[in-house]
This record gives sequence, C-alpha cells and structure tokens, in this order.
Amino acid sequence: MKVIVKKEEILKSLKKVQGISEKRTTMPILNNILLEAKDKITIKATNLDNSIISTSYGTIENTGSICIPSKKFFEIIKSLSGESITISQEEKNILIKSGKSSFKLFSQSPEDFPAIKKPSTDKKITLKRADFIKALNKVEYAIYPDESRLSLNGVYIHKINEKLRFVTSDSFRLCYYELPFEKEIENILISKKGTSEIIKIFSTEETDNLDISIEDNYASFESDGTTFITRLREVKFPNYVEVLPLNNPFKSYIDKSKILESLERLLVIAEESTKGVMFSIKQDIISIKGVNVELGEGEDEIDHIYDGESIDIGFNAQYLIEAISKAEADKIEMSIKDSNKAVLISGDENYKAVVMPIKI
Amino acid sequence: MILHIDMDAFFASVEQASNPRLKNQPVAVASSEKRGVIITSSYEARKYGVKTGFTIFEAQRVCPHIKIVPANFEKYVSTSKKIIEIFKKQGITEVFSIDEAFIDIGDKNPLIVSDQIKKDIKKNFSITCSVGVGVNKDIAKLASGINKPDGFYWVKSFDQIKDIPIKEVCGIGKKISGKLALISVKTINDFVNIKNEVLRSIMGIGGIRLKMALLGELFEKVNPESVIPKSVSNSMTLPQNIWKKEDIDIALFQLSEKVAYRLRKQGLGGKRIGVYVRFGDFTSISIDRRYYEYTSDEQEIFKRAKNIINNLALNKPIRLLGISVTELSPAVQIQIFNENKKERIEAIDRIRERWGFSAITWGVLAKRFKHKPPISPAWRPEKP
Repeated sequence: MKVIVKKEEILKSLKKVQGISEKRTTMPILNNILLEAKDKITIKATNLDNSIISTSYGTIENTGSICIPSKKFFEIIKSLSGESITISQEEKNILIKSGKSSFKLFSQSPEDFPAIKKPSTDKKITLKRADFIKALNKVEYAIYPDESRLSLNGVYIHKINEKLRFVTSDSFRLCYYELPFEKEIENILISKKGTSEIIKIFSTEETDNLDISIEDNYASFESDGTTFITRLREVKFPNYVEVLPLNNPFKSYIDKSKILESLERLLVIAEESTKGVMFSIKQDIISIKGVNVELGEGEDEIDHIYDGESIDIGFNAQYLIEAISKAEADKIEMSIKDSNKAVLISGDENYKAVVMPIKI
Repeated sequence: MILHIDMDAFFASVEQASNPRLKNQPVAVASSEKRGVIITSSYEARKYGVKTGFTIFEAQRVCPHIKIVPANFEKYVSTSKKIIEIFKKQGITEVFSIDEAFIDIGDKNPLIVSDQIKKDIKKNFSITCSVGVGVNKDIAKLASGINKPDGFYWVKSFDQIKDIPIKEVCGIGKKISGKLALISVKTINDFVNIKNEVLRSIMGIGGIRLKMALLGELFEKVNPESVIPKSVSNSMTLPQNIWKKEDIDIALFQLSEKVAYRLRKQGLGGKRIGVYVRFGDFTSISIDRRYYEYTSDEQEIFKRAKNIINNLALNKPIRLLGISVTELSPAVQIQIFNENKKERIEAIDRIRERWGFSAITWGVLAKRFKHKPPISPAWRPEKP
C-alpha cells in the first residue's frame, strides 16, 4: 500500500476517530486504526460498541490496508511540518515520510482488525444535520451518567404526534426536545458515549443532511463522507409519558435570566451534597433560600406572574439551572402541583423539562 | 474550649466492670467466640502485644492466659448512651463514635469539667476515659490520645503538638501519610509548613482546613446534629469459609439488607459502595466504586456490591465479607420513577419498626448465615 495525502485532510479524519479508538483495552487491536486504500482512502476505528469510518482525500499509488496505533499515528502526523505526507508499507512496518522527516512504525496485521457491522442504508432517513445535533445538545445534560442503569444511560428517540422526540432522564429529572417529523422510525436508545461522539463528530461537518439507518440494534449516522455506527441499548427506556406532570394546576411565569442568576448565587452557599434551595412561592414573588449547616445561608427574591396557591418547595439548584438554561424563550413557565410532586418547565414549544423536588 | 473524651479500651473495660473476675486481667473482646477476631483488648492484654485485628489464636499465642469474651454490643450501646447523658450535662455534645465524643464547654474550666466527667463515669460504670482539651475538635482529639489511659491533656500552644507524627492526626490515612512522606513531611510542624497549593494538590481543600485547624485558626462548631456518619458498613466473619457464588451472593445480600436498613433509619443514602474481602489465609482486598445515585435500597446496594466483587479475583476461600456505603447525604431528592419500589421498602421498614429487624426478610435470604453483627465505628445513638 502507498498513499500520498495532505496533512490537513488526513488530520481532519484522524481527529474524528480519536474518541473511538480505545486507550486502554483488553484487546490491543482496538488501540489501532485501519487505514484502507482501495478506490478511496478510508480510516476506520472501533471499540466494538461504537465505530467510525471516515473518508479522506489523497493519491493512491498502491492499494492495500494497514493497521496503525491510533494515538501515535495522530501525534506523528500532527507533528510533521510538510504539507504532503507519504504513507507506505514495507513488510511489517509502516513508513511515514514528509519532507526530510521519516518514521517507521511496527504494525499489526489488518486481518486482526474487527469487521465493522454497518446497517443497510436501504431504509435510510434523512434529517437536517444541524437540527439533529441541536436536539442532542438540548437533552444530553440529563442522561444518567453511569452504566448502573442502562435503560437511562442514553438518549431515547421516538416518534410521537408527528414529532421526533429526544428524551433523557437521570431519574431525578427528565427532559425532551422535539423536531417536526413525518416519516416513520423505530424507537431507539443511543448510549451516552454514542451520543457524545455523534455531537463531536457531526457538529463540525459542513453538509446539511444527516442520513440515519437502523438495523439489528445498530444505527449508523452518515454525513459528508463520515459514518458513525453505534450499538443501540437493548434495554427499554422507562415509560416516562405516564409520569409527565402535564396537568399541574398552578403556573408561574418567570424571567429566565433572573431565575438563573438567582440560582447561581444561591448555589454558592447550598449544601455540597444536595445542592438544595428552598422556594417559597407566593403571589407576585418567589423567595429562594439556600441553607448550609456549616456556612450560613443566603436569600434572594424574584418577581413572577402566578395564579396558584402559596407553596414551599425545595430543589437541587443545579438541576433547575440546567433544565432552565436549555430553554430558548426569555420567559419560562413552571407548572407546579405541590411540594412533593414533579414540576414541569416549558421554555418554548419544542423543549420541556421535569424536575423532581427535594423533601423539605 | 472543646473537650474530646475517648473511653479507654471501651468494650474491654465494660466487660471488666461487669465481671469482677476479669478485673486487672488481660481481656480481649472478640467478634465471636470461635472464629472471631479481636475487636479490642484491655490495657493488661495490650502489654503482651495483643492487637485489634488479631485472631483469637494469635492473641492466645502472645498471651496464653488471655480471657476471650465474645462481644455484647447491646451492652456497649446501652452503656454508651448513659455516658453520653453525662457529657450532655457539661455542654453541647457531638457523639463521634460509640466511645468518643466532643463537648463544647464554653468558658468553663476544662480541668474542673474533666474531673467531674471522669468521676461520674468511674462512679457509675467503673471505667476510665481520657480527655483532650483544645481550641477546636481536631486539637482536642489529638490531645486525648497523648496521656492514655485515664489521661488528661490540655493543648494550650502549638509547640505542644508540633512534634507529633502527622500520621497520628485524625483524617490522615495511610495513603495520604505516604504521599506526605514523599515530600519529607513527618510531623505536624512539617505539615503546617506545606504551601497551600501543594497541600491542596495532595489532599484537596480538606488539607488546608486541617492545617488551619492544627494551627488553632479554625473553630468549627461542636454540632450535636452532625450525626451524618462518614460511612455505614457491615461485615461478617462467616461460620465457615465460603467460595461458591450462591453463598457469596447470600452473604452480600444479607450485608446489603442490614446496611440499607441502617441508612434508611438515619434518612441517608450513599454514593460510594465498597466491598471488603478477607480470605481464609488472612490476605484481604477491598475495592470501592462511586455511583451517580445516592441509594439506601438493599437490592441496589447488592447489585453494586456484586458488580464490584465480580471484578475481583476470588481465587481463595473467603473468611469475611464486608460492605460499606460512603459519601452519605440526607436522602432528600425525590425520584421520577420507582414509586412502587419505594412503597414496598417503606412497608418493610414499618414492619421492622414494630416487630424488629428479623420480622421480615427477602426470599433469597431464607438460607441466611448466622451472624451476630459487630458495631460500626460510625455508630451514633439513634434519633428519637
């Protein structure tokens, strides 16, 4: 195999695959990327759950494929000063040449690199790339962070009322974001790691569209010569629709920036472990208090429009901040039932968040 | 002024006080009569080199005429509760463990208060304690260790403590003292001279807090409500060594059940779960892992503990198993899902409240191990 590539071009591809190739693994082959030169140059990386295939441009002098340690290869390419880089194979070694610099790397057999399973693109769905990334960005914060609850450790995507809904929950809060959607799609649960890779890989692409294909518990996402394949979670996301507090009777309309500033201030003093703040909600005014047994306390007041009963309710301030800051409107609506029940935050038509209170 | 009272060889002293034949004799309290380990020993036994953690066999080897007494935790708890009442007469009391407490005595004379406490305890329970006095809890705790047993020590200036090895300070574990040794920090004086940035990188903000405390510049309140323990844990020496998966599961679930119940009784949940394994040959491993959710649910604790133990190489028969839950916080955050589960657990707790812990248990524990639970160092009197 021998290819001549532009440094800038190949770096773009290598950057994308870094997150996928494993750093520590019981299978050393997964620390490698597979560089293939057939009718085009492709770079593949996989950690078995997530895989990426990225196309790069260059001149192919001899076809073939090689297996190279991902991180070292990336660092070497990055360090080279020349514009044009020649990558070739010499018996078991890989030669990298650019200008007067040259490197020789030991390589593993490309036959050992695991085959990447790619869903068939026959039934692909095309979405606006920017919309899809935006939806993931809106809901990523509420994903359950560790794998002790697999059913919540990802983004649940399903079709409901002619909308594509992206749902996440860490069991203390839940949120969703919707995109208009008329086609049909299977319900899928993309893992947390898969989600963050999709955001990373496709945020910088320049093309408008993102093609999604789903088959046998794998989903692929393709845009501009880059394909990302993720193994979907096989567990079911909990039935969240039945716990959505859509009928909360009391509604408070609050200035988004005011409540955020106020919560940020009180977070400074709130107890480290619970981040608890107490809301005392009355007509026209909400007073918010943060108490810390060891440090002292803080209090703040904000005005709002409210038609309900007076309620005292406690929240984890951090949860509220995250839920509210994803809303785009200047005013948010907070609907409440009582001190122990879920609160629904609506920012704009597409975004809703549920936050559970803390006991007072 | 702050007093730190530390009961001298508490469990052993209680045994000696309640049985005249054990008076002035080397006595060791063991977790169980046959296969237990030494939990504590009297000062007479310590002279022979008997140490906490010894097996009964080891204790008998260094001190052949030692009297082994199986632990009677109910007795220690009830004595401890009565002693705490004596402390409360003297000032705001923070119970630190079953045999230790802090008292804020305000402007009272520490010598007089200490004498009174010692007299009251001696008269009522025939046991002794050591008292440390300092401007804050950290210094008082350090001081009580200086003249043990039946001691009294008042730290009035930094010079009195500056040469004490830093590893003897409460909060400096093996890991941290090892790191400190690397930068040639051995004494308290060395410690307070570490630059804040360095200290922070070694042990976080807690290091700076401790430095200020040792210099007498920090005055944290004695807090009777500071009953949030550092950890809730439970361990058991098994009636015989086990190695089968089913047996390990039963033991782990049994421990989880106990730990979970104790967490719930205190209204707490924990994030970090630790598993401790001691093998038949007395080698041991412990490992812990942090999870996102605070939990006080036995099934969840069991699931996490099992997950942890599955990653350990269990290639030898197991003698003792333990589970600890740390990073505790009041369980205040309400969950979205899990409503049914919560009701089920509340029902279990109500039954136990009325008819005792063993009135109800899980089906998987039909074949449970017989075990008299030891007491955790984080023991606190229950809230009314």
